[in-house]
Amino acid sequence: MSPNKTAAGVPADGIATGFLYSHYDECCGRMAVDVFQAFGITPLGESADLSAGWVTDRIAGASPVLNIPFGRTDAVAGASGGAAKVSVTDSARSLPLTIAARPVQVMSSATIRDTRNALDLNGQYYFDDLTIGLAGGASDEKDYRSYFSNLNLRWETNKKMTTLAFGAGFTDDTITPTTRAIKESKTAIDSMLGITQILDKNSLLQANLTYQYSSGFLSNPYKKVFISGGGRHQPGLESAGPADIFWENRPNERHQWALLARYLRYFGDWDAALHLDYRFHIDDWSIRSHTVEAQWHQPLGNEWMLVPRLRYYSQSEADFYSPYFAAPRSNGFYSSDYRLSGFGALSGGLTFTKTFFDQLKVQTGVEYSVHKAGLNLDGATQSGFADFSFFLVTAGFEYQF
Amino acid sequence: MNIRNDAWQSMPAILLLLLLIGGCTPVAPWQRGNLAKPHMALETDPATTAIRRHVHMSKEASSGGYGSGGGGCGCN
Repeated sequence: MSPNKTAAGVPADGIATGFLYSHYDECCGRMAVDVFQAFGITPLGESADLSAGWVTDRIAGASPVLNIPFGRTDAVAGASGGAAKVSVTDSARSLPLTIAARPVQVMSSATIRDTRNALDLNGQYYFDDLTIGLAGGASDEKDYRSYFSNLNLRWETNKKMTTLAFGAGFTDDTITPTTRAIKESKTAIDSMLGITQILDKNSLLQANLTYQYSSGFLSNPYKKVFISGGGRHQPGLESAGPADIFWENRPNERHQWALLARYLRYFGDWDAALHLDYRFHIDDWSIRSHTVEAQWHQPLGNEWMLVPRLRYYSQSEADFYSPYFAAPRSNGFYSSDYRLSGFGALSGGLTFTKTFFDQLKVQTGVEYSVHKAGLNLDGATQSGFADFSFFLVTAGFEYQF
Repeated sequence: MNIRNDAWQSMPAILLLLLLIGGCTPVAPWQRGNLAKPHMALETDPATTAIRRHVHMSKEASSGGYGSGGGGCGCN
């Protein structure tokens, strides 16, 4: 990340730096994360710039581990992994059931603690109509390490009314879960084709098409599944201790496509800008999603800026997802991770920014989000037991030297 | 699921995009003052955008669309 530059295709015109603190908090005593971001950019001669970003996350709290059918709480003993104590939340008691027995979510204890540190560097060189960007970085946790790099090209054409973009990236991750004696890896390559078009003197449109191929260990090493009748003889499936409970097992390949359309329009009467985003995502795990986001950037005078925003997200479930499994599946793939379920999310947020002397920008913001199976466009509600909400507050500054 | 069939669902968006591009009017550089305003940048607040996308990416099963970049995490 880097401080904002007002013009594309132009190097930074001076040194700038900034800091952002964020606090993420899930409802019901689940995860809380403190995030510290520092970033800066400096010009390198007249045709290049270099930006750098540092992130530290401090994570604490509980996370869902698996679901079991109501009445089988005897199966929970020892199922939360490691030294964590088991707590069972039966948030499904009042929800309508579409499967045989309502799922009961088993949480890890509130002893999950981790710190993530990440660094990224991004160099850009600017020709007359072409910008070349090269970026790389690393992210490190005690159970997860990731290295990534990417190349980006932007070509301005059609009297600079049109910008064509190309990007390609590579990610190499190593996973060493603290509660299991395994060391796994996964890689991802991604690519992007994009076009940004000035429509008239007040509006522009951007469209990006991205593709990502991931391979290797794509399971979550801490998530478990309940399989009634067991799956002990299925290849790739590993017992997680108690009978009927196994480590989740996802396919070791995934193809993802996303199409993003962004529309920006300036309204002279209010000196305001409307930002509209729509993203369609599809993959070969049967997950389709739609994301819509709207932001209104309203200057208030005296260098104040107010930005309210709304976001809606809906996804269908993965074809190997179920809250729990009443019988073994033929292909041996299982997950009960709520993030692969069918659900919708509605978020609203507000950011205030104040600029002092054209050099110092101070901002604070808040966002609240509700995740509910019932918000899914498909109307699926079988994962309603996993509904939750979170809020995110941010505060920070940027300084232009 | 047939991905090719589902991908056709995005065709209306692509056709709308082509229609809009085809209908755009020439804008001379000196007419781009409004487009150059800070709040008309595609990324007005990269740090907040980065943390918001990271949060959504770690709680949802979708990613992509905004270009290549960023590393993985063991987010729970």
